[in-house]
Amino acid sequence: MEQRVVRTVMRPPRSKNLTLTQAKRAWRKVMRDERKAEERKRLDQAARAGAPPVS
Amino acid sequence: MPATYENSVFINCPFDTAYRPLFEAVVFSVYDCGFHPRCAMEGDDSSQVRIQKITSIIGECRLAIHDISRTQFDLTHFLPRFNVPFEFGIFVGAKVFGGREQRRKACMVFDVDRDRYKTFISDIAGQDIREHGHEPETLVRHVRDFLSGHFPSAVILPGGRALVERYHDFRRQLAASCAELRLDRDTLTFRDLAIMAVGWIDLNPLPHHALNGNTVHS
Repeated sequence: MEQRVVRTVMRPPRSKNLTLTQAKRAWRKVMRDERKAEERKRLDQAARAGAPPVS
Repeated sequence: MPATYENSVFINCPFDTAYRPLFEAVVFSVYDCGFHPRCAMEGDDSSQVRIQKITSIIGECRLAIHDISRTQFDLTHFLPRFNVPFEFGIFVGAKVFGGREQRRKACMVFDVDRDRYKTFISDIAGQDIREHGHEPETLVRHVRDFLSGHFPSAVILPGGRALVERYHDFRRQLAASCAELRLDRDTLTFRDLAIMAVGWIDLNPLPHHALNGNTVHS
């Protein structure tokens, strides 16, 4: 009886290690959030002072 | 540019929790000066004998930063931790007895204050010991001054104050970035810390980074 050879293609497991790409993506998000927070703070201060916001 | 003998810096310091802010300051500032930090904590291979790993790293680094500030009595065993002075000795041995490349080694030694070493390791008398007083900012400035004299090309590194400001920015944003990546900020491995530092520097580059480039030794 002829036997069929079944080849299974194993995908490599996803690395649990942190990569530079992941790190940079996280940094970009944090830096973006920080810039937004600073902008909000600046607008709030300008509004409290009664000055028109400058953007 | 990948890590080479010329631009690699062996970090020989304590790895305990209390030392953590200083360790982060050294790793960040070495990268920020355009060099590559190496230390016994890189990689995680239980099959490798620790001393072989350390001697191998020392052999691959022209420069080193030793911090002997933790050579003090342990209240549990009444004995000092002696790994740092031991590895400092291996580095000096490599410089004295090694080949032409090894003899070009240079290092900087830190302690809490300048004269304390005389009571426990007086053989290094005559060397310029720098004191950091447990302040990461002081450490960053000293690391910058030391490495600026060893940059492979004729480059003026930014001053200590500029690098301290960058270190503060990095630290301020590190907790949020770690949270983003679900990493425990207080127990980052050397590899993860290195990747975080390289990532931050890549996004906030200085002119000299283009000359030396940063890679992570894992």
